[in-house]
Amino acid sequence: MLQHLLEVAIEGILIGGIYALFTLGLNMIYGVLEIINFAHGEFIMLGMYIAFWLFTLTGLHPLLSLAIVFPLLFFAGAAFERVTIEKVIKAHIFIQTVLTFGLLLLLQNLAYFFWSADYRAIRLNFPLISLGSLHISTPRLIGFIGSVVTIIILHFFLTRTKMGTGIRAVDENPIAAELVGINVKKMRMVTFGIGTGLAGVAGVFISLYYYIYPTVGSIFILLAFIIVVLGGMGSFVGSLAGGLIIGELESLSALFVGPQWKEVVAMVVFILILLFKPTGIFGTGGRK
Amino acid sequence: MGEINLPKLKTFKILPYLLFVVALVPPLFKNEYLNSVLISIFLWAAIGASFDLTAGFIRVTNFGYAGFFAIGAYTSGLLALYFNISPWIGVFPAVAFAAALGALVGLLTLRLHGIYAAVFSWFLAETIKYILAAASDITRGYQGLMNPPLFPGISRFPYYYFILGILAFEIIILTKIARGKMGFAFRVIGEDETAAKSIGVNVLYYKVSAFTISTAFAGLLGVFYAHYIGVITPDVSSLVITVPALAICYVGGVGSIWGSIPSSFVIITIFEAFREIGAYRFIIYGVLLIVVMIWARTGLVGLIRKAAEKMKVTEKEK
Repeated sequence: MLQHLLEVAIEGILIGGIYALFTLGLNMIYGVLEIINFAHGEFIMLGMYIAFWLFTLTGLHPLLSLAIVFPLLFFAGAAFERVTIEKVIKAHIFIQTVLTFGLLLLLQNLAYFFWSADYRAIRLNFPLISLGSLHISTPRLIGFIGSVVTIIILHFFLTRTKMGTGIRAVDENPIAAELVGINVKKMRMVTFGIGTGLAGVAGVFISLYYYIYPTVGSIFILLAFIIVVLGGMGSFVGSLAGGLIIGELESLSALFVGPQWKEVVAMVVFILILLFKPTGIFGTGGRK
Repeated sequence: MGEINLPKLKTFKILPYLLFVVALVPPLFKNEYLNSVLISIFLWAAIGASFDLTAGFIRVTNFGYAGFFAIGAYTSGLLALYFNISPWIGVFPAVAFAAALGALVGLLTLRLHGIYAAVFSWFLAETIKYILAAASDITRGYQGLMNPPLFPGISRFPYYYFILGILAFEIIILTKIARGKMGFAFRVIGEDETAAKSIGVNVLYYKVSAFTISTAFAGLLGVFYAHYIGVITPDVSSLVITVPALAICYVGGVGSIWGSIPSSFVIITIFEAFREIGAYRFIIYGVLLIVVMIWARTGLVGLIRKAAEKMKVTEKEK
């Protein structure tokens, strides 16, 4: 029992790392554009499908498909931002929300239309990793390591490059950033692209161990929302910690109360946080 | 976004005539298919209008609308099945239950920044769906819950007049509210909640009111739907209901109440006329929402207004 519990706990940390990755994308978009991208889960779904089709049709290893997924979804996201979101950037938040919700519907149902509702999976044989008598799921471990590496790269990008500094400046104060000569419009576009790109990368990692179907994004967008609420809107560290906590909670609740109640447990946690600590554990309350 | 889209008082003078004409359709055409299409149009117009009270006034997009609709539908359906209670009586607890939950959500949204309210209501509807599906021993889950009809016989005649009556009643009530002090307070809160608070608007009271009224109508329409359609599944608490509600409201013209009527008419007629495109329904809704949000925020109401003004100008020129 104890061994099983330990295995589940490790699994929770591993998937939590991947959750942290896509939540960071959502959070970055919120920080710089001050909008909630409801279609974020659909970019995860697209990442999963691209990895699946590349693997099935050309035999490309999912990890190598990252080199295609990130740029593709980066440009798709950036283009969408420039064409649509940029036009409503100063509008009431409900307009932006409904707009991204429209994108969610569009992407989800296009996937349904082109690829049908079939459940698909990438079947790869990974060697089993054992630590003493503990068995660790290899695809989840790969996803975790990949997520950590991506997050570290993102961190360096944001702190060590000119563009990263610009993005952080807009996140901090868009008006002041504009005054010192930063191209705020460009930063918004790049940030949205990075956010959707990160969602796609997370999708590739998830596709290593999870089924792929058109509405799969809904699960992850709901998880991302809970993590953002838990960690605090606009908090980098909060997304990391929140991801690990929710990953852990999901694994443990599947073990103790049964997997079919996973969503209900998540919902209860969500309500409790909103009731007692609406700014999140690490949140400063955000600017809204 | 300060424009006011509410119907002019003149519109109310036309209303009785309009109702009279529409009421003549069933006896004149004696066409059950036509009746069923019009019933759909009235039902969806009523859904869109009740959705508008939160979306267009306090500016909270209720992504969980279907949850309240489902509460109404299932409460009445389950009461009929297990306690043999007629839907004419079951409608009261059904509406009360939906409205009570709506009040609770309204209360919770106070603690939430605008966006969390939307996410929260969406969660709620999803959870209701999971519960309805998981408790299949009671609700029959995806096998479907059978509901007794509201009227004897198989004719759609009585349903036609019933839903038409509900729609007319709802539009009048909601427009009265929207024009009054309450509607004004809703708008102020929708524009800027902090400013509303600072000038002494009781945000708690008005937000809870908007949600309660909107969800009470959602529950009522859920009851009608359950007993009109006959069989319901947990999917009534999903985006299958929320998305058309949202689209009809926004395409019609958010914050207008009556915009849902032309919009429901156009959207339902198009989907009925071109059955083949039904499969791509949600793709179309998605594109419509994106387009309307960027280029046509006043929706059909805005277009109608513009056309009316143009006509006036040309008349004067003559």
